[in-house]
Amino acid sequence: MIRLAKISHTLTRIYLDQWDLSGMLNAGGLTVKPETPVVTCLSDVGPRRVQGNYDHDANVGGFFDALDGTLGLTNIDAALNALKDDGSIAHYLTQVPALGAGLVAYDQLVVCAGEPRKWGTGQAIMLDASFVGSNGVARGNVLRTATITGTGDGAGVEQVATTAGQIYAVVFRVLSGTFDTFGLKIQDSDDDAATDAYADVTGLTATFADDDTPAVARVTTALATKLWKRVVVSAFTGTSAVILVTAGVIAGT
Amino acid sequence: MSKIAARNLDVTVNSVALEGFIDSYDLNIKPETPVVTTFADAGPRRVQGNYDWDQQFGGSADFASGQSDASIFALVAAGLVAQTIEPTGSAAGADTPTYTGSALLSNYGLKWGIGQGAKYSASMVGGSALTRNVA
Repeated sequence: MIRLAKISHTLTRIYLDQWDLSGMLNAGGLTVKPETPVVTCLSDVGPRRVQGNYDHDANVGGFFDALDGTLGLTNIDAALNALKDDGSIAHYLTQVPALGAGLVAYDQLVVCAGEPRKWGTGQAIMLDASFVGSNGVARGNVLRTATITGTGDGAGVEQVATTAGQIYAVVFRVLSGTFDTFGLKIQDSDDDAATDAYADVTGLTATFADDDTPAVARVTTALATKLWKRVVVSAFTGTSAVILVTAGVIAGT
Repeated sequence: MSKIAARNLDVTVNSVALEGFIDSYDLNIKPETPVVTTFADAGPRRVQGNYDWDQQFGGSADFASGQSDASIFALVAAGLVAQTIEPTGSAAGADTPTYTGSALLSNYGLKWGIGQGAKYSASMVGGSALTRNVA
């Protein structure tokens, strides 16, 4: 497992729902803003505050691209344009500072708040998008990024053990591939199977069929989960599929 | 020690030393100064009330376990956390003051762009008295 500290942009990846926008973006970021209401009283010296809920947002920027994507909306202009009047459905925005199994991933549920397009002399046409949070944000990990060709177990990733009530969210993505159907599921273990064998986590599964590519599925559980998680491919039929699975605990749960 | 270089700064938040991944740090202390000017006054009149304080800092984001990203994101729902600011990098003394207090995370942002390292910025607002220590 690679542990990255300070990083450059070369491995940064940004995904919006089932679309990998990394090849069209040159900037990204997110902000988390806890509520900090003032509760200072007359007799206090200095301020007094309490911490409440939080808000979050994200901004991405890149280059306008209207190459005909038709099915799958593979160009950024079509992808973002589809968001402007979709009834405020919450979308899955994942930003990965450096793509690699076990590395940090931010998963947000967001609503598109704006997508200006800009053009000027001497410049490429730019396309930016801003998103505002709707539901929580999770600072988690990339559980698996791989091209799969059959059933099998992925490597374990050490995360955090959750208690009952904390919401553990998993985002399954299939980015491309030639396949009939396959399933993904999450298993957990106390110690990466050193003494505690991996077992399925109830409810953390997804199934993809051949006409779903690219596709995304998000599942959550409020059951307690163990420290180590891994992604297991089940019932694979086909040639191959490129998958990305990210997961983490929703902040504040 | 009088005037000093900024590199001497040590900042500890929630028992985590942050100076290894801060490249800018601002501490702001803002006394209340309500206006009490009346008709007969020439020029303003003010009184001093309580005060507020906040801080902003940022630097290169470090995603390794226990470093900046993990430490600061953990403050999103952590409530008040203790912090110590040592402008000279030394413990409190007559010529090496330190500032201590408790604060809340009010903003945490991450940014990445072509040609740059991943950067973070954070803001924290005071939730207690801020004490300047000289011993």
